[in-house]
Amino acid sequence: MHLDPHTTALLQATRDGDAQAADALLDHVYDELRSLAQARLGRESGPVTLSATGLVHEAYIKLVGKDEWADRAHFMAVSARAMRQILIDRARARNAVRRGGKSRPETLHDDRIVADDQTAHRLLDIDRALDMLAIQQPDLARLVELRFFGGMTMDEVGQVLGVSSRTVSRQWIRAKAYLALLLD
Amino acid sequence: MADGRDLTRLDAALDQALALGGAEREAFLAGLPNDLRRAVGSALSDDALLDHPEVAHALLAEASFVSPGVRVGPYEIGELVGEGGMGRVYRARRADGAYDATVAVKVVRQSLTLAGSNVSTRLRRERAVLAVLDHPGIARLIDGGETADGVPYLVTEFVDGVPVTEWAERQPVRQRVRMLADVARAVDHAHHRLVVHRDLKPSNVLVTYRDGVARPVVLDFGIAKLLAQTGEQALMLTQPGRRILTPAYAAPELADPAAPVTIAADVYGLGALLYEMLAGERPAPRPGRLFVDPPSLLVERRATTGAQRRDARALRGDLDTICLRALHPDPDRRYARAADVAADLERHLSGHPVQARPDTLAYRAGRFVRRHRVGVAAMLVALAAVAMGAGSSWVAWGDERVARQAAEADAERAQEAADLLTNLLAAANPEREGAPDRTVRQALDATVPRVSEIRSGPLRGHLFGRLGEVYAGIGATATADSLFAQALPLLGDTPERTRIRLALADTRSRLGEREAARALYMRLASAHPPSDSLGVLARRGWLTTEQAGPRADSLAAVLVRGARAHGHPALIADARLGRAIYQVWRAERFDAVVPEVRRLRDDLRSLHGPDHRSTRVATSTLAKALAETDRTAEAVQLYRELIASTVRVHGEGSRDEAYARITLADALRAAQRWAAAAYEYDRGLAVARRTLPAGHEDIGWWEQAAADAAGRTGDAAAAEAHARSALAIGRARGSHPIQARAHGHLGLAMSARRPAEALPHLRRAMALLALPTGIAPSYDREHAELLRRVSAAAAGLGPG
Repeated sequence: MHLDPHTTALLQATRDGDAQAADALLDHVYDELRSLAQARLGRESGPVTLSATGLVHEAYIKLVGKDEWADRAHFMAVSARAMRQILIDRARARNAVRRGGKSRPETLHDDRIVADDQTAHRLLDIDRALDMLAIQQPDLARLVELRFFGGMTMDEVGQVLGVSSRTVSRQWIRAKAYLALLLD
Repeated sequence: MADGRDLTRLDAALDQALALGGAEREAFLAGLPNDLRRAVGSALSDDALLDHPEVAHALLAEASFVSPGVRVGPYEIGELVGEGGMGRVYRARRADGAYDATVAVKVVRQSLTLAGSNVSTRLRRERAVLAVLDHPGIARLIDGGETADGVPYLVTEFVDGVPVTEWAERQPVRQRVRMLADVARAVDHAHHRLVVHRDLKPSNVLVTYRDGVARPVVLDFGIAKLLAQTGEQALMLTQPGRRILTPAYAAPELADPAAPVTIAADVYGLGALLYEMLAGERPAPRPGRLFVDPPSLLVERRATTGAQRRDARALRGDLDTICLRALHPDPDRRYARAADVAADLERHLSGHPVQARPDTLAYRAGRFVRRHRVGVAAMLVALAAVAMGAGSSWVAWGDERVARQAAEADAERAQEAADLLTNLLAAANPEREGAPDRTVRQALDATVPRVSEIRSGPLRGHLFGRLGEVYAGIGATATADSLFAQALPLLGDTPERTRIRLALADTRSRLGEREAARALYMRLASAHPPSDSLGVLARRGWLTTEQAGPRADSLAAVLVRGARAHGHPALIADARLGRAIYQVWRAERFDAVVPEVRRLRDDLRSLHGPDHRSTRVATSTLAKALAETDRTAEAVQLYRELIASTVRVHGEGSRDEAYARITLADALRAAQRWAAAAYEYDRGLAVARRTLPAGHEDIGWWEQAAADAAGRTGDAAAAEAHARSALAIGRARGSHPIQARAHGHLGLAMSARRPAEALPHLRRAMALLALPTGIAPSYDREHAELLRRVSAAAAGLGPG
């Protein structure tokens, strides 16, 4: 069941090595994830927790259909990349708002917001380090993308990469070490 | 910055560290160069961000990046003062010192600003409209724009107050009433300037103190409309269940996104506020109801002190009536203007009689459904979707266990939705009130496949049954029949199953499946004693499928005796009606039957009203009895009334209209008014061919009767055509009486012009007409009369 022939065609072309299709697919998934996230926000009132994996699964069901397991691994990888872009865009926007604003009055300090600010800063750092890691160790960079930006479990990452979850756990520690070194 | 060599060193250090444990690892790490030690150390420990992706993903949930301390346009954002479905509200002030006033900045949820909508342009245009609002009871819209990341915000006068319902909790009833009258005046001011609020609710109506006097201020005038244009409608469409099932303050007609929003929506909102201020609860009809309980009832139920009971008494009467009038589901039945709400409240305070009157029975659900076709259609579909339960989303994930749990957790809500759906379906039934509606029909057709997807078998069965009843009510008998048949196996051994079995027997009977219907009726009759209501209905149905004879006679007697033993007037009337139909159809002792049917018809009229189906059946039965006793004029008059009543209920061209016209034609034929009879048969048959299944046995009977009438007027061509149709149906149905008459009329019609062709038909007719019909004596009498005519014609044509 192909719910969206466009997506499956792009997935196919990407697998066949079409770089333009890969870009188009990424854009497509990016738009979809973002609109899904916004739809979720609109639906809930009050504080909202959005799970990245939940959104990715939702996008997958919507764009590819639940029966197309052949495309699943590839789609997950593309989604993780898209989710990375979304999060980085958010972090950038947040920082931009901060820079535009005047210094905050002391009385209005709010732990949650401060924490979010730090998150945004670190996220941007990780993003830059990940670009460098991708040059030297592309496999580790993919793993970070899946695990961290895609929010997948070790098992899920293992399924996408076609390795055992033990291997994923070991590689995850290496990736963290590399990132720490690159960020140092 | 690290290069490839660093990474190789790091790998080696990491491998070694992983191979060591506890203190040895510590010692090893301590001996590493600083950069490697930090990298390995953080890789082996839990990272607050990398190992907790959900922290980063929290950024997804940011409605906007506006927060205290930032600057939005010329405003510096202060504390968060409110949060709702539309967005967050902050206290703010001009940072550029243009003027020194506190304002409220409302940051709209991003989801409400879908791509492509030019918010700022629309905002500017709308502000020109809103600028005309100048009333102390209305907070002004000052400014608006978009933040750096494209999130729209609105700036309004800052009102330091509490929601009007919260304020009301500590006030005497009279103060609450006066306050809402003031709110209504402010709303009316806007209405006069053609601005509708359409989102009146406690958080939008604040009470603030000015010079020590409590005054209401209405916030966000026109903003709901602004947002609706940017994407709220999409939200409503994708989330109908949520919108419709929590209708606390929103008028029911708002469920239809295409319907124009009128001041009636605000009148409803005022009613909802008043209701909550008086009753202490939001107005919410109990499941399955369209109307809310009057506020006094709620207060009375909760009352524990004398003061509370006094409050309940104060609400009873005028205030109950004013609330319910403003909250009427039908916009046309509400106060026409907000000022009328204010005026009635003021009249109540000053002791004058109020204008609102309690609703009459004439304005019921059916009328509501008729006036709000699209809204109801949307509701039906939405409710069916809700009734499906959340389980379905888990099914997509392939986890049956989770799906079952979710389904169970949702069962209560689904049941509630099902109740509401049931109520709406009943309201859509034209037998209750008014003509069937094509849009309602379309909504029903759209509901069926959705109901088919419901996972819970019993719930699916229940809704199939309910839908079947509505289809049966609008004359879609075949659809109803199939729904009942699908419902039966899904329903457990419950009273409902018995009811549906009876309904299925009725549809089988109407579809002309007499044998199948009788089998079902007999089965029900054997399971239910004569004095049980189902026993009565089953026997009544059974009687309609019986041939005349001693068994049917005793069945008719048992039927009425059982109903009398049960004692319910409507049931007794139904039983009497069943017996009367049988007796009239059996065509014996009409004189004895006529007075009883006349009484019965009067009883049914007062029980159910003039247009009720049972009343109509009684009218038809009485007319038939009168026609048979040569009181044709009165009979024809009754039939005309019957046709008018049928058209009132079902509109033009219904199955019931076909039956009414045919029985009229029968009466005219019996009175030998051939031309009039032929005309009514043609009209009746035209409707019947559209509304009954092709080849229905009744059509066969009517075609042969039409052939008779046409033949007697000398229209041989029409007579032949009708007779041939009758013959085809008689053959297909294996009915020898129909074939006998069809052959007879065919032969008679052809005898003048084509004697050679006529003769075989006449001979065939003579053979068949000699057989007893096995139906009723009147049929045999008619057979005998036709046999005489046919024999004469055959004799005239040549040697037999």
